[in-house]
Amino acid sequence: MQSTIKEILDSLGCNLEVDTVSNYLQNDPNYGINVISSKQANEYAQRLALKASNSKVFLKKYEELRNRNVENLSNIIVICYKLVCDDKKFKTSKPKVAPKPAIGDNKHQITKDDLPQIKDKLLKAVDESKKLVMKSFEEKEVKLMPNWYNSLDLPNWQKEHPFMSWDFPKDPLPIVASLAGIPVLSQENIIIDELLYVFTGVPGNYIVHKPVKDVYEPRQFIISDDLDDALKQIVQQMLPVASNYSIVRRFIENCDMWSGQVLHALVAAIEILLKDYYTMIAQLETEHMTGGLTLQKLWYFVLPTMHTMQVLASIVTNIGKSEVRGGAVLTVLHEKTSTLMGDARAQEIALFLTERACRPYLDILDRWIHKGSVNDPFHEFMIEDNELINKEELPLDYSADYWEKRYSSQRDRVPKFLDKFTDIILRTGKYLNVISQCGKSITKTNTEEIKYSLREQNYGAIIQRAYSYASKSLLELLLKEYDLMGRLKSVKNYFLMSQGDFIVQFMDATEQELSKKIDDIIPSKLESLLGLCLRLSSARHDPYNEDMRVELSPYDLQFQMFKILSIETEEEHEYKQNKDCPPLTGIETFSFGMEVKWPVSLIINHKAIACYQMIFRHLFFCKHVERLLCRVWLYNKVVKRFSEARLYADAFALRQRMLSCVQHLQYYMCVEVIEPSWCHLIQSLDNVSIVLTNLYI
Amino acid sequence: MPSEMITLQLGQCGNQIGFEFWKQLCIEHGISPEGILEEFASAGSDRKDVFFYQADDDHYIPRAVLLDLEPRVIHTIMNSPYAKLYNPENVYLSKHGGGAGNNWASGYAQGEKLNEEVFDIINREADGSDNLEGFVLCHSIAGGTGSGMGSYILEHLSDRFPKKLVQTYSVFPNLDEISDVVVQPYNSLLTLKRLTESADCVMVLDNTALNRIASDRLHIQNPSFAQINTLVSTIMSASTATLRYPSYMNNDLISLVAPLIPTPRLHFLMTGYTPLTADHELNTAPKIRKTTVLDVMQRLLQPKNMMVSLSPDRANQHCYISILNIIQGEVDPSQVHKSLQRIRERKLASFIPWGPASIQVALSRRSPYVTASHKVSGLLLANHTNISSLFDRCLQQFDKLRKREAFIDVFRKEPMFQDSLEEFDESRSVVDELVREYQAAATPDYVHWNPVKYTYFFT
Repeated sequence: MQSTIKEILDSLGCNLEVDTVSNYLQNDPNYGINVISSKQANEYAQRLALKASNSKVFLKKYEELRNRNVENLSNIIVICYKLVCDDKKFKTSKPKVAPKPAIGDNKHQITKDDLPQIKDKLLKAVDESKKLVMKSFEEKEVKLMPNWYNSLDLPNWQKEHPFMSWDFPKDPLPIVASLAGIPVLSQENIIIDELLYVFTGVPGNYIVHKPVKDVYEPRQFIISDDLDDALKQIVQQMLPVASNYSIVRRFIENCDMWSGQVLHALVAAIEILLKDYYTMIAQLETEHMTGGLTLQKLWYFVLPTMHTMQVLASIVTNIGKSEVRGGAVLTVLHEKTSTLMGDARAQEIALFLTERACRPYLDILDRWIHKGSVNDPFHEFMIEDNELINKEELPLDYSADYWEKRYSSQRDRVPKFLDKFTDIILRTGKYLNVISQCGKSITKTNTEEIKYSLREQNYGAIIQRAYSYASKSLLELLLKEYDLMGRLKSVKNYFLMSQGDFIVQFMDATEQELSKKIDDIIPSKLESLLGLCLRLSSARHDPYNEDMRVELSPYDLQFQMFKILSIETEEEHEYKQNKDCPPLTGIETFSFGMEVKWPVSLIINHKAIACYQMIFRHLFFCKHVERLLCRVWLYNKVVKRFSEARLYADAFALRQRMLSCVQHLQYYMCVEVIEPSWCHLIQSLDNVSIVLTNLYI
Repeated sequence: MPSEMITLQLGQCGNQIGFEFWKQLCIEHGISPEGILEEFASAGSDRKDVFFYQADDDHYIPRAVLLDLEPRVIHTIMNSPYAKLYNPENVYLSKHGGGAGNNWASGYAQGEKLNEEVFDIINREADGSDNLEGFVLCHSIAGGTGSGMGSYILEHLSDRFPKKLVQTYSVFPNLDEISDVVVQPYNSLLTLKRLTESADCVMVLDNTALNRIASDRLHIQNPSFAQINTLVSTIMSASTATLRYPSYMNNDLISLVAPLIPTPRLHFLMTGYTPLTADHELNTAPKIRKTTVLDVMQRLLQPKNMMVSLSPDRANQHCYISILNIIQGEVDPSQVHKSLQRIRERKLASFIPWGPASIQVALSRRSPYVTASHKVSGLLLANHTNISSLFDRCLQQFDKLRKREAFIDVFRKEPMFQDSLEEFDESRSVVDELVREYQAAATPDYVHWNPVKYTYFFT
């Protein structure tokens, strides 16, 4: 992006700095959103051109950039326009850039003796940073290149042997021969011969090419002046075929080994088309040999090809100029194909190219959504396998991180026609990957080939099918082999307190310990009490009771909630400043922890457990309050023997209201909130296919 | 195990109720009459240890103490299939076996005499539990053993275990028919004093209402003791359901009882249960109706389903002090919410003006081993100020006898009444005060009571 801005500013010839513009751009709320239509952008560019020192240069540049499909071009143009035109207005709202720290700030403290030391340090630091930069650069290189790159020593044919190119040679050749004095009829014969050469990228004697500065620049030709004017006109009409051919050729030859499978497939497809083209040229030549070809006839034959070549060239230019690879190529092709709706022949060509170019990509996709692995040597596919960790070295608490990090989707590599499936595709493969990580083989159910078509029903359906298969089999695996239900039940039993007797017993046992200040609590004691309660209560039937842990958090629940929901209001501020409250007691800080093993940890991950812990702490505290009130009741019961018992009635009524409040609150939370949600979860678990989506979130 | 309960069964009535109760618990927990866990119940998540403990050979023993002064009922129990269930050491029969002769004073005196042996058993049971929550006492207040000996044990339980909960299931005599126990009003009143001062929570089971329910609701012409006792055991098992099938809330007895009893003296609770089915109905023509939560909760508030018969009192605006509904079965919480709203809209229950006016609900699982004929069943535990009318009737009957000094001689024989009959008057004044306190609780002034105003208010 920086380079784009630089190019624009250079062509504008104004004194703005690249950094300033990009700063504005990043602060722009509309950044990244295409709020400006291309028409509007054009208008802005026109207006901007008026301000530019050389408006033609600027407009040319703009045109070029637009053809390259540069990202956010319209945004940049708008910002530039605003900056140039409303210079004053903008300067006031200029974002403040922190001034660079002055090095000489504490100059006076440094004596001369220190200078060599400082010099050494500086040199060292510079060296290190250089090394670091080099290293990261190298790493990046290595990452991009496949491993076997280094082992190959490929000669660069095109540089060493320019004439091996199927395009016109780089250096122009002068017109050596002259047509002067040759009759028109013979001239026609010669020029047909000449044209057939030019069509295949070979310079002739009377028609020669001009050199091109840019790879995708249309090629110009010089025609011998001696040629008859009438013939010259016809030749001029036919020359675009050669020009377009040259563009296509250059595109093909511009593709090297590292362009990726998609471009290679595209090039191969183009080659197929070109083969037909060559065949046609050969036929024309045969016709010419037998003497049956006139320039008019040639024009008649070439006309349809001219159109094809035109289409090819425009597609190729589009791709080449936007410098895309991988999935993005497919996006360009797809768009091109859809815009060619009105031109049946052109669309047929575009469709053919797109379909062919898609093949390797869809093969990778097919492998991903049916096998769960990525085989993408050129980093073209939308799913990036980061391969952080191998299965062998899975740490114990490894769970959500793996799930999040190992595979990620790369937005810029998603072809537009797969855009809405991105998430599903990512998840499908991930699920399968998990299954295979668990040591299960994946029996591929799908034999249908994913094929590109303008209408997306075909691959949409296949992707959906694969997704539902993957999520279903993963869930079945989790449910059957890893007893997800049992896990969830034990979560419910402990964190949501549905196993009330265990909670009561635990609270009885730990009451003394938990009423201490947090610093005085001995976690190991709690740990052993927990173990005792688990073994003695009805929780002993639970196969997962071993995984329960005790956790003491350093802050209370309210503080934690505020941290999460920080909206930064005034009222909230008051809570936060109330730091000098008495140290927390065990009751306020206690919660259960749970160890969950892979792969169940994918679903019951740290995040989920943290949420459960918050619910638990709230319920636990309510329970604690209820127990305290019940204890008061127990102490109060002696009063009934006093004759003046009714004097206390007021106090009793208050206690009653408090108790009733706490119990109703608990009832509401447990019976009306937790239980229905639980039932809902169980129901949807029965309805297997959709569920992983829910659980995943 | 936390929150264990020890059950004390006293006298003929207490032992009969207790017997039915244990029968019911055994069925619900899948325990055979010999105390062995049935195979189908081995993986249960229920808590048997609240009421049972396991012997060395793993068979379940109830935490029950059976006490009687005459052998008849206990012999029947010991000859039943459930004989092996109980710990024989916990069965205590008076040596001379003569009974208390339906005399409260005799029962009380014998209780005093047997004091040490009885409390040895109780102490042993209490020591055998990790964290005893309290005692459940089953008895009737009309007879001799249950009322007299029960009174003695009550007084001393609260002395010896001041921090434990003492809950009683007290059967009140049928006031509609003339009893063969002539001194019943004396017995009742003397026991009532102890229930007021020493028990923490009294489940009032009124024989009048139980008989009425048996004949009206279950269509049994002459209900037998066993049939009535089944009603009682249903209530007892339902009221402990949340302890035995733990869920989110109400996992100990105190959390059930504390919200029901705001002030310590007003601890007499009424119960109601719906739907009721009798055995003979199940066999012949099962009339199973559709039960919904709303339906159950509405029925529970109808006086005809109440296990206490209360005489309507026009003078005072009686109202509920608190209500707890224990709903068992397949319940959708949203239905509970709707039902509560409906009841509030229709003002089906009026509450005291000085406390939280709401019905509490506890949802509980059902035993998986008992096939219930209804989807939803409910138990109501309520503290209602009109329960004072029951005590008022006791007082009236007592006054009738006392005026004539009838049958006083039987009491004079016992040491407690040899010198004076002061105990009668004292008990009368305690019960009288209780009635007044219940009446006062219906007024908003209850919580702002001062003694001067109080005397003025009621004279």
